[in-house]
This record gives sequence, structure tokens and C-alpha cells, in this order.
Amino acid sequence: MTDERTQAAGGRPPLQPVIRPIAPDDAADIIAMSQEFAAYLRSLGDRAPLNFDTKAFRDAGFGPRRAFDGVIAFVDRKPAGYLLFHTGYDVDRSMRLIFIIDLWVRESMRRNGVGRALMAEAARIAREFGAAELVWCVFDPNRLAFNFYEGLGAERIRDLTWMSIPVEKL
Amino acid sequence: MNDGSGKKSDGSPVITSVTTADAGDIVAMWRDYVAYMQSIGDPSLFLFDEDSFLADGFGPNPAFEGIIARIDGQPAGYLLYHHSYDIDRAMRLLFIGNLWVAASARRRGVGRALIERIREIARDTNALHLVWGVYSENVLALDFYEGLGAARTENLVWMHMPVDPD
Repeated sequence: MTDERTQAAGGRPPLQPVIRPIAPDDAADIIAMSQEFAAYLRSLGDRAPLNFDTKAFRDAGFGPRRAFDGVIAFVDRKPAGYLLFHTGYDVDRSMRLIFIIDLWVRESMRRNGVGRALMAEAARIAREFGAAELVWCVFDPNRLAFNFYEGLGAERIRDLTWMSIPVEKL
Repeated sequence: MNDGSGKKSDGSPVITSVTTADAGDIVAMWRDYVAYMQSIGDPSLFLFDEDSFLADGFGPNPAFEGIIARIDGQPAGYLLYHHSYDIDRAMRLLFIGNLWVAASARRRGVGRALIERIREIARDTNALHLVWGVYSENVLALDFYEGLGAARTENLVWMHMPVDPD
């Protein structure tokens, strides 16, 4: 708890976030927060389809063929943020990775250390998997995200061109 | 003729899933890929070896999967991948971590055959897109992928961070 954070919250002492793994019953809370995130991205000009919903959360986040895992943060027992991830690998550097595929902290819950606590939890999970790095991508106009991640010591990957192709086009 | 041993004799590539027995062949081909990457100026640390292939690709908690191409039983190329997910589009993906065709096996449809098999794997796992990163100086790769119809991802910046800073 720093003076800076206390001041930023208008004198209110920060509340300690509580973080636990996601469960199927979190679908409504996660999707409510994810829709706030989508509205924020839209406001920055993101025109990508934003289709994540409770069915997708349950289908892809649980069961024998889960595509991602995640953690949810609570402040004062209210949903405050979440982080979704999956595992991966950097062949060249021979390094296990954790890919962060979504991270959001509710605007009303900011300045309580929720984002930092979620990233610290991702780092803990990464150590457990034997991963040496966290990787993720940021929508280019999302300056708030760059400031947050660069404040944690993250760097931009500059010498790779990212590509994709729909399977149906192959 | 395919006798099921990966030893068709008509010169066309045979694709199989990698097994622990492929460690030597994969890492030998990967070293040729590294020599190529270094020749075009990639300053990365290249650390993959047989131990990491075995430790990270197999066992209870594998970090990647892969396929290998052979022509007349000889290693001709490989593709390593892992599963991924795009939250915004609510879509399963396959993330290609490494693809290489041995210089001696070029122009024999090996790259195409690897892509064809990964397409089948994508269908079997409900993945709708393939994604990957290319070293920006690697014009050969950019040309190959754009020839397949792949697009460059605009307006996303990738970031990374060590779990335990030095």
C-alpha cells in the first residue's frame, strides 16, 4: 500500500483484491466485465467482431478440451477484473510461455492494485508451468494498456510480423 | 505406395505426428533453420535442443505438438504448434511456433503438405484460424505465407515480460 495509490483513490485506502481460478458459474460476471472491455475497445476504434459470450466462456473455458484458463479478482466481494490465459512455447528460445489472452479491470475498481495482482498471479501460474515469460498483444491505440504493462517492465516485440489465415481459406 | 511406415517411394511427402523418436531429426532440421535465420540477421538466442524437444513436447504437461514430413523415409520438414484462443472473436486458433522445409526437399510440396495436415488438425479441434509470427526480414517466409492467402495482422502490438526479472 503506497501513499501514491492512496492519494490517487482520493484519500480512500486501497482494498486488497482477492483472486481465485474461474469457475463455470462466473460466466455472467466475466461476460459483464468483458462487455465493458469491448465497449472500451470500440471507443478506441476497434472494429473487430466482439463475440465472446457466456456460452463461449463455458464451452471453451472448461471441460476436457478447454482452450483457456483464467482467474477472477474481487474487491470488497464484488467482481473487479479478470485475466484469461493459455500455455504456449517459444521454440527458438526453448521456453515455455503463458499467453495472456484477455485482461480487464473494471473502471470503478481501478487503483486498488487489481491489475498488478492479476499479473502477479499469472506469473505464479507461469512458474508452476515452468514458463519463463508472459506474452500478450495490445490493440495499438490502447495507450492505457501500454502504460500499465510498460510500468510493470514489459517490452514490445518489434522484429516479428504477425500473420493469420482462416482455415477455410487454405 | 504408402506402406504405413512413412516410407512412400514415389517421392511425395508423408506427414506423421512427431514422437520422441523424432528428436534427432527435428533438432537437426531446426539447426538448418537457425543457420538460415542467422544468415538473414536474426540476433535471437537459439537454444532449442533434443532435451527441450523431449521435455516440452511430451509427458504429462506438454507445451507444444508437432508433425514431421518425410520423403522416402528421410526428414524433409516439420511444423510445431500449440492451441490458442481469440477471446474477442470467441474462436479457437492454432498457433504455429515453427515451420521449416529442409533445403534438400524444397519444391516437392512439403510446405503445402504440412499446411494441409495442420488444416485437418484445425478442423478436428474446431480451430478457425492459424496464427504465427515471422521474423520481419524473412522475405521467403512472408512470400510463402502470403502465397497461401495469409494476411499480416495490423494494429496489434505484441508484448512480453519475464516471469522473474533478472
